[in-house]
Amino acid sequence: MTRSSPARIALYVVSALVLVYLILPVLIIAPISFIPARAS
Amino acid sequence: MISAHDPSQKHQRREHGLMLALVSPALLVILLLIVLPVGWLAWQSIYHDGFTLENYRRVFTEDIYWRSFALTFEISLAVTVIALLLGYPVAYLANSVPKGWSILILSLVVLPFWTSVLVRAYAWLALLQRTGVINQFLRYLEVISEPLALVHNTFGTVVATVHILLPFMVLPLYATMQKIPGDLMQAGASLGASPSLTFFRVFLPLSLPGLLAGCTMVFVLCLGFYITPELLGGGRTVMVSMLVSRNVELYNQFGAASAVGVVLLLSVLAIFFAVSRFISLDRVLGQK
Repeated sequence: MTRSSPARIALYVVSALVLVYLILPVLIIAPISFIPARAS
Repeated sequence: MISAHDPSQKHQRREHGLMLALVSPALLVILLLIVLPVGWLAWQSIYHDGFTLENYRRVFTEDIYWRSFALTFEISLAVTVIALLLGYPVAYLANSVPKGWSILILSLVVLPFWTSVLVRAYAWLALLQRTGVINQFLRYLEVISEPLALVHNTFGTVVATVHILLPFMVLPLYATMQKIPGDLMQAGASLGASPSLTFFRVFLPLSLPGLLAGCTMVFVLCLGFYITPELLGGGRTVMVSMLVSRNVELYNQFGAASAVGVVLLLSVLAIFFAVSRFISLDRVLGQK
């Protein structure tokens, strides 16, 4: 079994966080779009 | 001796004429949609009941313009540096993992493009405001007792702008990294270099064209940002594009707005000229 180096693990973690940052607004918008509009 | 009626020269002239005829519709579109509006913009900035440089005098002497230009360049620089620090690892990972994973990573990178800039700016507003998701989450974890001021300031503007411009950093970097032969890294390792040394001495220098292209794209695009600073800056972060808008909408001063636009345009051209000294503009614009 091959072991990942600390640098490689750091690369995975940083990249995962950046990808979460990129899709976070989309993840927020999607549920909000299902909330019914307030009746006036 | 080649005569004036040489058939090869005649053929060449005919070919040039044909090429010009083929390209003329595109040239006409560029003339109508780019050259004429920019020319009109420049004319507006120097002509108001006669020739005047008053608008430029105001742009270069009044404090509000100086502060706005300085803030715009500061924010653009900060956004470029942060986008580079966040984008490089993602591009590197996408380049080094198997094809299926790299497609997934790149899909996530371009996913924000599917929603409009305005919607994304409102999403960040929902995330960062005092009663927003992040403040509520931090209060739930009892990390903070009072909500943090994450929006309606420069911080919120930078966070949302980096989010919008990050794909413009990752994609040129990835394209450049794809062209770096993997054998070079193996060769470095076989000569006794550590992975980090191979990265800094071999991989990083070879990825510099993509890095410079990404930085130029992000910096130049950020200079003209309007919606994001308007929504997330809360009126405190006045970037140059907002000055243009205010000059037109509030004060009806097309001349001053045009002068700001011309100065910004010249700044961008100066940046492109400076970058072209180090790298071909074709690479910056994604042609090669």
